[in-house]
Amino acid sequence: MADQSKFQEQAMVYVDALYAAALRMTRSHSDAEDLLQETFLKAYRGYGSFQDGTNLKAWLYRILTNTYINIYRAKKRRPEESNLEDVEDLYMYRRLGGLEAATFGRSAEEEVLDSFTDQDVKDAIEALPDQFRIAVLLSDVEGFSYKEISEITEVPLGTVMSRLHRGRRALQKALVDLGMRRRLVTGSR
Amino acid sequence: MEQTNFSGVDCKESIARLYEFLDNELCSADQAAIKRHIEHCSPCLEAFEFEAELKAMIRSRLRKEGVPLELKEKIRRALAAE
Repeated sequence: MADQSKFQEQAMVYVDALYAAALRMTRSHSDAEDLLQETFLKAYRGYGSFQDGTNLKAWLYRILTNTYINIYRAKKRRPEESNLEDVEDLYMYRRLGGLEAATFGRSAEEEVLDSFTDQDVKDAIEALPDQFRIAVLLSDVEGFSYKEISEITEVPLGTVMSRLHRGRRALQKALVDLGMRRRLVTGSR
Repeated sequence: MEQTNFSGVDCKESIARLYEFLDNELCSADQAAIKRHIEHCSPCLEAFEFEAELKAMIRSRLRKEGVPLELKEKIRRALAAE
């Protein structure tokens, strides 16, 4: 049993990370604020059932994710899993000429990666359907393990891996498409 | 791409397990076998390095927003009122 009077000092440590995740999930400042407040209230009320010494960060993300899925997804229906285009692995690297003759070279690869702004990456991740976006956020941004993501999102490990890998490839394609529009990536192989 | 076999791992397998490797999700024996492969195989090593940089780039671009102070205070007040 966790002591409710200690909730603030222990949970507020994660408030910035949870807010950033809420923003990427809801794609809106006002919805993210509501989601964050709702998450902290639910967590506070349920804190008595939290086992001290277990993973508080993952527990808070689980509440955040569940609250988002239950409330906000119903509000703004997003395309489902089947609508995500299947993209080959190493999509961006292949488009930059990797694994083939060295048409681009190391510094040009770095130049392309450096060219993406915060807003570019935010737009690309926000365009992913919910389940892929959440998997990529929890892994690449928050650094959770596959097992933790499986517990947070309440789906089997294999589903986490499939969502994460497909989500990452779709994210790469969105960034490559942007690079092509800017003529940084030629698209020829 | 040529399929070169180092320490029982060929390029196809090394690329298939690239993300699990970068995410530290392989058991130590598999992690070591992939590591030996990429140490000897420069095309795979370059692909691994690129994906690691891409992953770091995505993380750094999405990391920056902190909670507005006002919202933090609102949450503190709401919790105090519970």
